[in-house]
Amino acid sequence: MTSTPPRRPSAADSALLGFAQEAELAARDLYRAAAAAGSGGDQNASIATLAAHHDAASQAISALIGRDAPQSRLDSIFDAFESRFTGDTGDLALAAHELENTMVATHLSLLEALDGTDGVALVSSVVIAEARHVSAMAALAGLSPVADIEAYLDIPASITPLSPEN
Amino acid sequence: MDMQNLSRRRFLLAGGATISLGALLAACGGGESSGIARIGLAPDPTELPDAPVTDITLLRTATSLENNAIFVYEAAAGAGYLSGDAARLAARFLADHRDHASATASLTEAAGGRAFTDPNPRLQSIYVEPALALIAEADDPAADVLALAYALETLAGATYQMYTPMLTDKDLRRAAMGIGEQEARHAATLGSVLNPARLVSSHGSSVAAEYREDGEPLPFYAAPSAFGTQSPVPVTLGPVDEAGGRTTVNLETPYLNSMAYEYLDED
Repeated sequence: MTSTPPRRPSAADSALLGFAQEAELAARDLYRAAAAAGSGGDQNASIATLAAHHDAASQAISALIGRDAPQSRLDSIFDAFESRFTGDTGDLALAAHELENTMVATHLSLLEALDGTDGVALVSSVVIAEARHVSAMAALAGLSPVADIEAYLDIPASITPLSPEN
Repeated sequence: MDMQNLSRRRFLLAGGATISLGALLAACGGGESSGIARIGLAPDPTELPDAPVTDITLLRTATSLENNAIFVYEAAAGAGYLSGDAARLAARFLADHRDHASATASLTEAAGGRAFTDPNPRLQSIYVEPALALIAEADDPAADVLALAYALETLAGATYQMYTPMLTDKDLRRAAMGIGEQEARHAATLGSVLNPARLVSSHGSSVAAEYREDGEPLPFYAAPSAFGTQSPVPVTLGPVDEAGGRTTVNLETPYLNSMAYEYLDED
């Protein structure tokens, strides 16, 4: 029989959510760098706003786990994507598309691991927003919503969720 | 009675007579007194069915919502409102919703419940049927179908977002949000088609002035906010009325008064 889960994050939840915050801060900094470089072209304001979205997600996690929040970015992600984020609009869009798919896959994997429902509610809300980011970046990349519909709707098989272990 | 001539004194006298008559009737009641005086006989209240919100209830409601979406896309296809790329996109979304309905039905049965096979009756009557009636009278039915699809897909994503923390079986969370995030992508894809000039809304976000949009938020964005919404999703449909306005329907996620409880199968 399944028991009612707790609301507040457990100690294990806080570690997982702290990792998610590091990933969010890396994404924020990547979009900030892209906007500063003007890589978004006509959609540079949208790119700057995506930085704000990831910042909001990181702050929400911080509000949930308090002092357990690391408040620092995941440098491995930032370093892996930085050059593509500060290239031309096509490079940025495809890199951001890959990053957002990775974020969605990461958060989906968190949902099974979390104990507290407050964390589940927050991560579910972030999944919805970041799934929409994927489709936005497919559009920015100039992909067709008909011929290339998989790029809008599906997580590619090549995407691996981020994990504190890797 | 002439109300103008009903003086305060007469009013008090009439009220006193009513109270006295009531006390008399109460005193003449049956021997099995409940201890509370009452006037006349009232039927025994009908007991409400026991309707806990279980994982099965949530999964059945998700299936019912998928069936609402299937109904809308099938109705739009049947009426020939869409053509070309819009029709192809809608056909893909319809296929996805059939897959989602099948998946949530299978999860319902795996959890020991009976799968729900119809559209959500309340959402069908208060949102879907009125919306389709408005579209039938619209000046541009194709645009209205896409607007309704955008709203329904947003609502579907919001529903999975709301239900996932309510699921007691942790193993169901990923499956539920795996569907929910696809609904969100449907909405975003439509948003990118309907508003290609601004993919991400700055409304509600903390951004520098140079990146902010002027004026009110537009009805469609690929990415409208930093978090998934739990607010009603508005959609404006139908013909222009005499006052120059159009009808706005506010779609809300199915909650306690519109869930697909198992007792509904017994009616």
